[in-house]
Formats: sequence, C-alpha cells, structure tokens
Amino acid sequence: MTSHAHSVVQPSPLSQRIAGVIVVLYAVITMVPLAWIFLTGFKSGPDSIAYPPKVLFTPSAEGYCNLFTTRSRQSPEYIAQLPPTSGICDAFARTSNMVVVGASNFVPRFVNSLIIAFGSTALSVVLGVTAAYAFSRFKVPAKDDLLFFILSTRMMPPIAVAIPIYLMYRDVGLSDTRLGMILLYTAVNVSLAVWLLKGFIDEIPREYEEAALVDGYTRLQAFLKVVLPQATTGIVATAIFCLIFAWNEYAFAVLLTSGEAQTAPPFIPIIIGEGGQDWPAVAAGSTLFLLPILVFTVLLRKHLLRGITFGALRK
Amino acid sequence: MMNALDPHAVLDKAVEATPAPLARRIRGLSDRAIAWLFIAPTIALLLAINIFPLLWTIRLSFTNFRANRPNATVAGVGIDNYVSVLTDPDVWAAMQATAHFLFWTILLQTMLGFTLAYLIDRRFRGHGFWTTVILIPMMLSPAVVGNFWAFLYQPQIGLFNYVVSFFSGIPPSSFEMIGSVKLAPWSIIIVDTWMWTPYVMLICLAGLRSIPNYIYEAAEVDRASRWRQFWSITLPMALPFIMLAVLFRGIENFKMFDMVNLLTSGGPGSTTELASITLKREAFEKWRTGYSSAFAIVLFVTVFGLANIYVKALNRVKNR
Amino acid sequence: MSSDMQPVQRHWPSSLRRGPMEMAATAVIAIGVLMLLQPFSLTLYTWSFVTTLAGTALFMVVSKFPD
Repeated sequence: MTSHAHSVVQPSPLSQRIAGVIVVLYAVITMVPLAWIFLTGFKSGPDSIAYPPKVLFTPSAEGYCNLFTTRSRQSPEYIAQLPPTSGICDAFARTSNMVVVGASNFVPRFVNSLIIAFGSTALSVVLGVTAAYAFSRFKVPAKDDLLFFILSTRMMPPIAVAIPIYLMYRDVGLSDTRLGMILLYTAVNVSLAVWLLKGFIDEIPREYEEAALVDGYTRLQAFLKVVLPQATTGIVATAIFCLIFAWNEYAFAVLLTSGEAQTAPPFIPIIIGEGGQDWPAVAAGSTLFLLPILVFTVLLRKHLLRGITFGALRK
Repeated sequence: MMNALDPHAVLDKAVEATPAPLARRIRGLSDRAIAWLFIAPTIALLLAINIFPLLWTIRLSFTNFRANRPNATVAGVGIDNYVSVLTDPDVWAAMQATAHFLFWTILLQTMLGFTLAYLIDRRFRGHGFWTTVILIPMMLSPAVVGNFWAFLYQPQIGLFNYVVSFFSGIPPSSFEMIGSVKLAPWSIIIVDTWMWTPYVMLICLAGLRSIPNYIYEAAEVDRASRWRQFWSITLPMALPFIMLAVLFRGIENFKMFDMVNLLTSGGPGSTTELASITLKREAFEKWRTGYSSAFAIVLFVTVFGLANIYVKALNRVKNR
Repeated sequence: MSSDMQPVQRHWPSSLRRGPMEMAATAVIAIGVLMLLQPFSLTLYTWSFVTTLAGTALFMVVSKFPD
C-alpha cells in the first residue's frame, strides 16, 4: 500500500543492478517460446523443421497461405493448362503441384471466437454490474452465502460440469450453437464480474447517489446516471477479463462444439498439412489468435492483480 | 462497447421503449424490489447452467446411464459408481500423476515467483515494463500454448531439445520430452511453470508491497541485518499471500485439462494422465456417464472444499 | 453473516467459536485431499472422498457460528 520508495531501506544501487539483470534475463527467456511462434509463422515448411533450428531465414507467406486456404494436389499437366494464378497463395501452391480449392475454416472459427467472446462478455458485464450494485448497496439476505455460491461456481472443474451440460444442451438443442456457448461462458464469467465489480462499486461513495436521490432521481436513475459513469474504469477492466477468459477457453469448446459454433482454440491444433501438423500454419494461426491478448495484457497491467484475485487485492 | 454502456443513451432508450404504465411502476420501484430485480437474473443463470447440471450429475452418479445409449433402460446402482471410482487402481494412479504435477509445479512456481517478486521489489529502473513482459504467458490461451510447446519439444528439430543440447552437449535426438515415460511428466511441469510463475510472482509482489516501511525502519534502528530482516519480517509477512497463491494454483492445477490435453493428451501410456483427462476419457470416449458422474462429484467436492479454504485465506489477506 | 446471530453469542459455548472450528474443518479437508493424492495406501485413497466431504460439510456448518 506504500507507494513511496523505501526511505531508510532503499536498496543499494549494486543490488538494484543485479536484481535488474536477473529479472530482465528471466523476462527474455520467457519470451523465447512466443518469439519462436511468431517466427515459425513466417517460415517455409522445410525451414520450420530444419536442424539446427533456423533463426535467420527467408520469410515466406506459406504459413499464412496454408492457414487461410485449403488446397488439393493435382498433376503437373493439369496445373499447366490452368489460367494464370489469381493471387499470391495460388502461385505459391502451384510451385508444389497444389491448387487452392477454397477458403479454410480458420476465418469462420475466428469469427465464432469473436462472437462468443464479445457476446458472453456483454451479457456477463450487464448481469454482473446490476448484481454487484445490489450486493454493494442493499441488505440482501444471506449475502455472504450468495457471494460464495457465485464464486464457487467459477471453481468447478470444467470437465465435471461438461457432462450434464452436454446432456442438457443435447436435449434442448443448444449443442454446437453460439447461443449455447455464450450462455455457458456467461455463467462462468458472471462470478468474476460480480466479485470484481462489487469491489469497484464499493469504492464509489454512497453520498453521490444519496445526493441524486434527494434531487428527485429514482433509485434506477441514480444507478444509471450516477453510479455507472463512476464505475466505467471498473467495467472496462472487468469486461477485458471476461473477454480473455472466453477467448482462451478450450475444455468446454472442444467437448460441446464440433463445427457450426467451434471456436479457434480447438481448431488451431487440428490444422494439418500433408504428413502431420502444418507447423507454419499452426504458428500463423496461433500468432493471430494470441496477439489481441498480448495487447490487452499491456492495457490491463494495472488491474491484473485485482482481476486474478477476484478483486481481493489491489496494488 | 463504451457507447453501448453510455448510461444516458441506455436510459433514454429504455424510457422510450417502456409502455407508460409499466414505466411508472418501474420508476416507483422500492429498493427491495430493485435489489431482487438486479440479483435474480444472475442467480437464475447460475441455477440453470451450474446448479441444475450439478444436481443432475449427482443423480446420474447413482445410475448406470450411458449418454451414447439414451434409449437403454437406466437402473439405479446405489453407491456402486463411487465404490468403483474410489477403488480403481487406474484412477488412483491418475490421482498420483496429478499429485506429482501439483507438487512440482507449486514448488517451482513458488520459489521462482517469490524470488522474482523479491527482485522486482528492489525497484530497479524499468521494473514496471519488465514486470508486464513477464506477465504475458499467463494471459494466453493454455490450449494454443500447449499445442505449440509440442512443437518446441520435438526431438531433433525442436527448439527446446536444441537449447538443452547446446548447453549440455547431449545430442538433441537422444531424448524425447513428450515421448518418454520418464520425461513426459516433466514436460508438462515445465510448461505450467513457464505459464504460471508470473501469477505467483504478482501475488507475492502484492504481499511484499503491503509490508509497511516503518517496520523495516524500526529494524534498521535496531541494527538487524538484512538477512535477519528477510527471515523475521519479509517472509512471515508475505506468507499469507504466498499461501493464497499456492492454494489458487493448487485448485487450478488439480483441474488441469487444456494445456496437458494438447501437449501430451495423457501419454505416453498414462504417465501424464491427470484426473481431468481420465475423467474426459471415461465420460466422452468410453461414455460411462454414470461412473464418470461419480468421478466428477469426487473432483468437485475436493475443489469445493479447497475453495472454502481459499476464500478464508482471501478474506484474511483482504483484512490486512 | 454472523451479525444476525449476535443474541445467541451470549449462550454460545466458547469451544464452538467460529475461528477454531473453521481451523479444524480446514484440517479435515486438508487431510482428505492428502489422502486422495498420496501414493502409499489404496485404503486411504478409498476413504479420502468421505473425509473431504465431511470436512467441507463441517466447514459450511461452522462458518455460521458466531466469532
């Protein structure tokens, strides 16, 4: 809680320097696997599996082309009589006796991820902010029990929950639908949203609303016009946390979706080329998929602690 | 997103769309009514998607139901499913694999995480930036990351094997991280430690920063050595935070599924078959729904028990 | 949650206060989890579930006790 530097116990410059070197070294090592994903996305097939591993190589669009297209093998004679190539990926495929036959499923899966993540985030935040306000401001019977109940739903092992959800969704026709996944992710995320937002709303002085109520606002107006604007930072931070969970989720996605509503995490690992996984394409897909989260992490850094401890710890 | 949440626009739209008599009634709502109106949807959703399925699982766990044969007659089997889960040596082996994974990930992450937090708390120049860099792995998708580590672990061509052989001289094709019975459990421990050390570090850092300066100042006045200060002030006062991180990582790794499923999918043999992976095989490959429901309840009760302790630890830290 | 239990507090036996009882329940849960994960005895593993369940039930009951 002390923001000012240790006064008497200021670490010596030498110990600071040593600490700095070790931390930077750790940070750099920790980034190597991610850098490798990024680089592999721009390698050609043979370069990606070369020994020793290549750090310097001629960049190739093969990975990204393979990620976005499906190709079929054709005879050289057939390819020779085709009209001139229409794009870079087509030209690329023809050099290895392949023809681009269409778009791959990557874009639809990515779009599913976007729809499901944003849909469930919006729903979780709306439910979360209203419930958090009620828990923060009103006397709710058995409040602590309800809050613990809400938190404990987040802790359930996903595979254990997946069995009855699978059966339930099969019966009501929600299996492999985006709506089903949105509802499921909302149920998981709403617990985080309630806990986080309750912390943020607790910090808004009650006097603001009380003044508004005296001025003739109804409770609902006071909530919408006074509390919500004050809670904007908290709402944004909560929304990004919900978004990241829904974006990254794999267990439910792989068990409950197979086509229509499949998100990117179960899809990326099954991108295969001829003879096993097409690593440049997998790396390209992973890069595109991980990049938004990288940006969010930097944006969120001040709220990370709060988010991962359900709002219990601040800074 | 900001536009959608703009309170004025929302309110105006809501007012326009609400029929006059209803609007009058809503505006006059008592606090009590608003409290219920605000909480009910959340509770309803949780009841429908969490509690109802949980109760259904409990019911199924006492039957021989199989999800791939919905038309077969379902018979109650009493506590037979629980007895077979709790006496099955294979499930016990999965629990031991989980225990091995838990023990080493928690040990490594706590030691590394605390050390890093301690170093970052020296506040060297640029510590804010490097802290953010270190945090990145834990925010990423465990599935996508686990899948990519399988590439890093490839014998001969993988970067991991290359780096190990570069520093140790062991030929890179002489060992397989995910193919060998001996090394596979360590391959998942390494990836988990890589991903989650930042989490422990962040909590420990919060712990270190919560120690008030005057305690150190008093220790300086008493001429306590830095070493003494560490053992009698820093560590004891950061301990509740470390416990919190350990409990949370324990709960999370007890449920571990995504990263391991993509990295080793439980293999080779069943050396890395953690509890959740065994459960997935029973439930969604062998379709022994009744049996796996009992298994799920065993895991759930364990997590629920630990969650109680976690919340208690959380409150203790919060009240500091 | 314990605020509405204030009147009871006067007659509540001191050995059944929330703090120590929660510690006891925590210990039972911890023992149950250790039994589940230990590699030594199948019998201990078999009875781990009942232990954890009892500890959790105990915890939920005693968390209602006054401080």
